Amino acid sequence: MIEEITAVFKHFQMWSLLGWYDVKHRYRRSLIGPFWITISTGVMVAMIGMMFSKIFKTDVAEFLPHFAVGQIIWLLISTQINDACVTFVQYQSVIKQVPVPLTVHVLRRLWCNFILFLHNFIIVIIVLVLFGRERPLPSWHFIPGLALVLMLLFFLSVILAIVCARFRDVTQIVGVFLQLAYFFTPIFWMKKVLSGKYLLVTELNPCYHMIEVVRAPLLGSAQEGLHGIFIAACIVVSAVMAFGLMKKLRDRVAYWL
Amino acid sequence: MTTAIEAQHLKVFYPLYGSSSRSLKKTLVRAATGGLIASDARDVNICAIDDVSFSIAEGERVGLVGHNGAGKTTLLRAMAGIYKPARGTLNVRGRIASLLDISLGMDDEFTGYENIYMRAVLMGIAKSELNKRMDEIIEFSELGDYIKMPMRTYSAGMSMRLAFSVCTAFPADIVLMDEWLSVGDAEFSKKAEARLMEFISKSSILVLASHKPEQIEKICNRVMTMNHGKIIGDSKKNAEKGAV
Repeated sequence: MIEEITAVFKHFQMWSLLGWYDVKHRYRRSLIGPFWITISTGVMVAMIGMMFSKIFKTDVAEFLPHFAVGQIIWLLISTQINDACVTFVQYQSVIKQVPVPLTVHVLRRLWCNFILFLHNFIIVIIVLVLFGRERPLPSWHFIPGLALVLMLLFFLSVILAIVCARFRDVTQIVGVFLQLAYFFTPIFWMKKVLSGKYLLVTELNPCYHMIEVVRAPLLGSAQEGLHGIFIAACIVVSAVMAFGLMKKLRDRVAYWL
Repeated sequence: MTTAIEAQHLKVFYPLYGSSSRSLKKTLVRAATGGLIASDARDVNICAIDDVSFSIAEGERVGLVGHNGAGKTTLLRAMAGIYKPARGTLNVRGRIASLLDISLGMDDEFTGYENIYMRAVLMGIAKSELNKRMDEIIEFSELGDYIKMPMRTYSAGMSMRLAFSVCTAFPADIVLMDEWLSVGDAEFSKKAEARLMEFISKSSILVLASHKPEQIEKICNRVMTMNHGKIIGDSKKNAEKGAV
């Protein structure tokens, strides 16, 4: 059990190399490689950002950075959660041949998605520079915010990976849930349109807090403290669940694949 | 610390989830109806290893024989630490080299060079340790400049040669093998045989599952016969005969 936790450090070389190779693999034989995702996300953010600022009659300088940053963090969250469900199934050949801690596979996936996120982060920088004069300065507080998001994603991924290895239907349920979550989270709309009891849609929505803990400091509003506390609470709960599941079921996972 | 493998009343079950019991709905319905319809989806277990006890000491070269489905591969995987015992205990002391699937983790899109890293990291070899042996691995595989080419340009034999070279580069205390490895054309396979023999001679325990009696005869000094998940025969040969 304890090696599942120490694997983060002990098997660093293994999960970081394998995760990096996963990134490399995806874009083999293409000329500009992973920057295709930077380009595709960039085009999408620019077009939708401009169109929706017209639809919502908001200033582009206010809406586009809000949407760009939110969308890019959302991509990290949603791809990781989706991938988490198939992690053990995807790497079953490895799991059935090499006795490494299961968290290594989860970390491998998370690392791969984090590298892809860094490629997208270029867009965040471009957007913040473009609209820099009209906006407050970003604060470095987004870095601890991002660390919290990654920690929460890690524990959630451990839970989902184990549950989905046993119950394959959960993968589909999570997919549907994520699609809905995208619309219920202020990414392409702004929280200020909500009032009264409808505010609960954001206040109780972990996706909103995960996005905001990074987005708020980047957009220069000093509101991230409360979001950080909410996420920390989620981390504690999910960590307890992840450890519980690991302790009880890790020996069984190889048999389910 | 002496190298050893000890099993006490070892049992390994495979749960067999049909498509029905793997679904969440079935489990939820079962829970909600208080087990009334439980009979359709009770877990079916296949007992792959059934109450097996043995101990393998240093210097032993064990041949596992038996029909298909007798439990040889499952026993090897249990020794490798992949399948945890359902009942009983299994103690394995020593670093394991598992040659069950030598091309595990290798990928056609990557170059030979990258695949060496990929394969070695999955074997738990540190980068620094690998770099020391890198030249020797490439040299033995005889791939020459192909090592910089993607593996999809290789013939089947060439990829096997590469996988074999990496897997046999790092001696371990215990070697687990499912069928004797023979790779490459006539000339290479002679060279590979010698390397494999040397690799095994550096280890203190070998467990080889094989269907070829002459192979077992040549290498092993102890033969365990399996049938239906049980060990039905266990014979040791004279020590000098199996001096590999």
